[in-house]
Amino acid sequence: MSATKPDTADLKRDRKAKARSKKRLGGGALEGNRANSAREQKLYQNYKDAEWGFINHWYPALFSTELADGDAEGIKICGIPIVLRRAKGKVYALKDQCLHRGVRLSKKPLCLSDSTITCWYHGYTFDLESGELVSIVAAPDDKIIGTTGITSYPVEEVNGMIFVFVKEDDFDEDIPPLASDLPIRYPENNERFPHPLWPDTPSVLDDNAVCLGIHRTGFSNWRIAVENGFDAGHLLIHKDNPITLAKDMSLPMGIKCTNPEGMVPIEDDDGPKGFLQLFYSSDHFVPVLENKVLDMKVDGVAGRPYRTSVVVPGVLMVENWPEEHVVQYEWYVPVTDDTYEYWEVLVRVCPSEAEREAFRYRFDYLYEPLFLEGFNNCDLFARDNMQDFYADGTGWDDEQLADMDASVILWRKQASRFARGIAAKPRGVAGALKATSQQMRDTAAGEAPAYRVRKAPKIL
Amino acid sequence: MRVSFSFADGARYSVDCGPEETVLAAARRADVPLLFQCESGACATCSARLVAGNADMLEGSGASLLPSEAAEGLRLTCRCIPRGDCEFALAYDSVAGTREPERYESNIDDIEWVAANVVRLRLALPDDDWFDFVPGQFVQVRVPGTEHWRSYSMASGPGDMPTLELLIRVLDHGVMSDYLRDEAEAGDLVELEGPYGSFQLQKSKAPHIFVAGGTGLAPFLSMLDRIRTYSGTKPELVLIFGCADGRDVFCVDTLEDAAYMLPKLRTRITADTHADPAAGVLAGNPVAHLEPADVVAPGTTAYLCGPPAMVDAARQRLLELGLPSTQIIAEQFVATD
Repeated sequence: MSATKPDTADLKRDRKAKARSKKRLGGGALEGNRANSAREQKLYQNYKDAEWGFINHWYPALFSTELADGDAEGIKICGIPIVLRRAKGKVYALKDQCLHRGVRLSKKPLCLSDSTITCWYHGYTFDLESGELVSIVAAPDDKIIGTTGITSYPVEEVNGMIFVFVKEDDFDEDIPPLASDLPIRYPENNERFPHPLWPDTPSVLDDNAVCLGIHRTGFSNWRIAVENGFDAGHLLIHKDNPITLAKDMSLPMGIKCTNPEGMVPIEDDDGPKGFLQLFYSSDHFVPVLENKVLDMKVDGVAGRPYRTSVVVPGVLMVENWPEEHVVQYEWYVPVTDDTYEYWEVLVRVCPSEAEREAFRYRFDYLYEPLFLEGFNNCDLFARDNMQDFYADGTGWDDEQLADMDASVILWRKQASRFARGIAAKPRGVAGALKATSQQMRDTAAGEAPAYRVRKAPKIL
Repeated sequence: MRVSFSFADGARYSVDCGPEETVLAAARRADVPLLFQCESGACATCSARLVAGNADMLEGSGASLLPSEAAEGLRLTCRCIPRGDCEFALAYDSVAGTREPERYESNIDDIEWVAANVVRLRLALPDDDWFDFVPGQFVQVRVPGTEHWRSYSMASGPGDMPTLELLIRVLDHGVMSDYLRDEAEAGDLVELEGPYGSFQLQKSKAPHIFVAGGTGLAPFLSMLDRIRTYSGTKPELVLIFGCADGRDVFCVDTLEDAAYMLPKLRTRITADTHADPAAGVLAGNPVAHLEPADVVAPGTTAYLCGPPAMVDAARQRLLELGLPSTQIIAEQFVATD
């Protein structure tokens, strides 16, 4: 099927080479042997365009304990301000931007009934379920009432976590199930991905699942954060971590993929989309134990049979981590194009109160301080330090990826193929413009850009 | 006489048309946003569907309106005279015609021979002087060093601007062909005018069928690039791409990449001679590979682009398969030397 070249082929090839070297993006001297060739990059163009995240997906918004009955809290996901309100136990989510003059409802929540939220400024009042403008405090007969409203977002609360389906204003399809944006589940996948020691990895959605975790804001683009979660070459940053030594983990220097089939695409209809890495399978991966050039060696790797998977819109699952029968979920929720909310959640199925207590105790005194903070702080630090290179977008063209980044490239391609939409740069939202006077004032006052809205003091 | 126009987005206009006045002239007098380009019946940009009343084409209107298209109600408004009150439907939105074509300068970025007789020409416009377009539209290109202009559909997506790609069939003789074969070099200045054309991708979640002959593939590469960015569930897509000679099939890697990026895209490549089914090139013309199952879903839209004979045959076949004629949008081209 290859084309027959005309007689002047050699001449044309010369010219082609000349033209290539003039190319604005990538190309030229960069092409070389890098794994992210120009053609590969085109296959994940949607991902390169998703600075503000992938929209029309389920994201974690708050832990249940962070939203008491009657309260309202403001957050931001994919650049969209969202107010969460719990009324009579049920959680509602609306766009947190009054349609009148744009202030955030959550700054000074005013809830005059169980079914509404009212803007604290001029009194525009919205139905919690539909977002419809149902009244205006000072103008109850205005003809605008009943003709307009703000976007409302579907909410699911499960096992201590509140999830919101963050969507475009005009999204008109059926809302996909939460499970389609969470990692694959067991035991139904035990046969497909048999685990030698500990099958039945727990899920957030399991009966009796207990979800304990933390979330905090990272100062990089969300994509940099996702990729750090599973890239096979980043173990170096964990080498000298106290818990690595204390638990005698003897991590390898890297994990080399010897057979690409060890990265298994997950793309079932109506299910999650992403891939799983069979790290424990010696048929597909070998640990890197020695670097002769640098005279480095790792002795006695503990060879824990763990594996990782990642699914759209950026959910990591590390099975049997930090210990067996526990699973670590991570989300890297886009807040703006240069901040993300880093969620680390440990899940264990605890059918009895005693098991719950034991899990909580271990979380409080081991997992949270030494793993979620101690171990993963290295990751947070690394991501923040990549941001400058990627901040203006050119890093995505200029980076020179190697074979160990095959999983990063596969993730980008899967996300590009299956994400339900690219979030647009928002309008009228903090973070869309950089270095505004208000941001500088707040930061100088010790309040860096944050995921959650800081409420107004009582007397204002 | 009263002539009415209804656009794809629901916009409606009604104008008075004088005796022996063309439909396009009447529309332009009243600022109805009809698309047009050559004003001589050659380019078919101004085509519209007559949905009520009678209107005739002037004698000697050129070959760009096929008899089968005329029978289905299509008219070229620049060469069409109403015979009493009538109404036309346009396949594009009313805003499409508000973007005035303009003159632009570009430089050749890359000249790639993708087949023995096809060049993929990549042009770079200045970062601060480029244009938006709807996939399916075309530009006019001035052959460098001459006064000749040629029309080519964009083969790249609007998102690729300020870079655009064209697929150009290289003939044995012809001003553009001679230029590309003998003179063209990266960096050359190329003047453009556009965007033009009423052959435009309509946003829809219903299935799309694309039938391409030769470099008629170009607008579909642009459309696929746009569909890749659609939110939510993407439409089912069938693309049938026919070449005369199986040894000259081109852009196969581009189509493979498109099928990877769009899991709902099914591609069939065909060749009249030297087919190679083992290598994925089916024997026969593209029309023969339209299948009844392709047109079953309600709302399915077919886009056709290629030589007149292929467009004509594809239209007949789709009508036979039961696709309503209003769901067939076509662009045909004639090789110009």
